[in-house]
Amino acid sequence: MTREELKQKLESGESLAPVERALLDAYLEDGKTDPAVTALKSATQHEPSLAWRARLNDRLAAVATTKRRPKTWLLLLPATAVAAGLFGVFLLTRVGQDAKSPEALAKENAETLARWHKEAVAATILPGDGVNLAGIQATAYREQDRADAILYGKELDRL
Amino acid sequence: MYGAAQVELSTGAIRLTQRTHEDALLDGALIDRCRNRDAEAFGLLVDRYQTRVFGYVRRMVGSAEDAEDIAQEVFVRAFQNIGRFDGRASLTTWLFKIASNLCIDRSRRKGRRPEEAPLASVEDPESGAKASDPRWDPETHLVALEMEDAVEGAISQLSDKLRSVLLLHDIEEMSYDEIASALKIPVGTVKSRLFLARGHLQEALRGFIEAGA
Repeated sequence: MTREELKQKLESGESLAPVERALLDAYLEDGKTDPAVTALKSATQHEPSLAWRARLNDRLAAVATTKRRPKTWLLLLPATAVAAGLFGVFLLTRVGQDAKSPEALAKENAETLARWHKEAVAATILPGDGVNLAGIQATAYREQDRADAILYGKELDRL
Repeated sequence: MYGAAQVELSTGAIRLTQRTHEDALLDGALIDRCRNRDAEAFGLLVDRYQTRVFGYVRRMVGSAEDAEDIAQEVFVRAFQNIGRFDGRASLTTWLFKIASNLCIDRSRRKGRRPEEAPLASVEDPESGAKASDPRWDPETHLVALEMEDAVEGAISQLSDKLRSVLLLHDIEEMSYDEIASALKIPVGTVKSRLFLARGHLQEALRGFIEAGA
């Protein structure tokens, strides 16, 4: 196998057989004395300037004098845990307070129903031409009061 | 003759091994001091590696300005994180890993590099032949400069993946394993990328090399 064939095989990304790997090693060993490699090795080294080194020294001095700051999130961790615990306790107690008895719930529902009813009645009172609004309102309120009485139980006694 | 050369070669290898060992010991001592926030020790460490790191970054990003920023960031991050350096990989590998990651980040942010140097004169064998005339010293110098430009141009034409492996292996002289660790790729991929990168480099410099031969 020639160098060119090996090059093509490597460029195409094919894997090499053991014999080809040995050949690659041999070519690499042989290449150490190649004039192109010799020219590369004898190329001038790029030197950093003194100004570059002075700037680096300044940066290193700044890094050396900067004390390593402790990781703040590590310090905050216990405080955060305590706060989370307290918040949990608060939520639990609040949920306990908010829990309502069946009686209170029934009363609240009845009040809601009454309010909806009042609103519905009020919504039916539409002003129009020649309508006695005061009379309608008086009637409506009477009906409303009666409904309230039924809901709250006063009217039940009379019935 | 052959035996003498072999002895010389093996002596050189032993010297190199000793030097590498000494380097590792020195790095280890410096790292220990740096872990205690010793700024002077870190300064010595920067002295040892700044040229290599800067040179690598400079060739990886193309722009001198960006290279200066990234190379500084490499050392700042190394200083900040030296406590995490576990010594499993060498300091060289660790530093070049940081440098490679920063270069990749920069490349992703900026997309393709607009300021890449063109392959000036690479495909011009005539100019290469003229410049390679050894009778003219200024021209020989010019050839060297042109060759260097061509090398830089060829490097900049490579993809980031091929370029990083080529620079780490052939300039920084890192082993396949070290490169694999620094770039987080398998050793086999390191080898295939190096082979392809060298192929591109040879192609780009062919005119110069043939003219110079």
